[in-house]
Amino acid sequence: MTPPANATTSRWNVSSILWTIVLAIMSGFQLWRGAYVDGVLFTAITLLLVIDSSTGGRFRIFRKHFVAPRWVTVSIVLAIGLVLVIAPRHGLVDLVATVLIGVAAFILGWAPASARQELPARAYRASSITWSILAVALCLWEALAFIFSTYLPGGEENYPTISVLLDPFLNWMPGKVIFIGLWLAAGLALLRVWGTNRGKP
Amino acid sequence: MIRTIVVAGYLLIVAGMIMSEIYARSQPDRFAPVDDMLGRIMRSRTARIGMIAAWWWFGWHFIFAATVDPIGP
Repeated sequence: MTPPANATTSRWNVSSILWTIVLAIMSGFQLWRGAYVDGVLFTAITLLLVIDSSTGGRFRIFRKHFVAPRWVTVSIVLAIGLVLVIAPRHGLVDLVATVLIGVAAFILGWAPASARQELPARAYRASSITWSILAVALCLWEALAFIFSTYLPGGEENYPTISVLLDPFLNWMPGKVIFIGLWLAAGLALLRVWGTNRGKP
Repeated sequence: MIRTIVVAGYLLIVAGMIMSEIYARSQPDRFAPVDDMLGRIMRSRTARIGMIAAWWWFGWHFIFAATVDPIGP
């Protein structure tokens, strides 16, 4: 429970407040649509982050960062990807594999972020605003499609959600391989596996 | 007709994302590429865990969970 080197990254600020609101909305939406496991998970994450921000980021999962050689990380991810591709969708194997991925990503994500090369502030501002608008638009469009598909005539046929549109693609083996490959690659990118100074405060 | 409009909405947003990234790659000093922008945002633990949770949920939802779980009558 010692303060991390960059505890300032876990205190309340505009960014952390907005993200907490987004996570709280996500929790509420999942519970409202009847996905109780998803809702409980997001609620737990939200509460944990509220406690973390309120205590100035003092909570540490581990004292040292885990920095595995890239070949080890890539080998593990490829093995998990292979398991996910081979295992039938919605089965027990998928459950165990996705939970393991989630726990590992959570532990890695909790560690302080590495320093990065800086661009002009206006570039970050323009990009953040644009991507926020696009992300909110996508979430609203998806939410509206879900609500309309639930209550209006025509249902999912007239108002398909992303889930409805992607489901047939995922039931097609090449589509499943592409989805799992892209999903795992995105996870590695988010966790900065390819960065040169991952884990250094 | 309604279905076409709904799907077009998704495609329009995705096109906006692709165009934004293409522009960012050509003008990084004016518009940060998504990788740099996320790197900056994710200095905050709340944002980092939020992004990772959203990413993980996407895979969980499509790979394991019931993809479509409607409520209502």
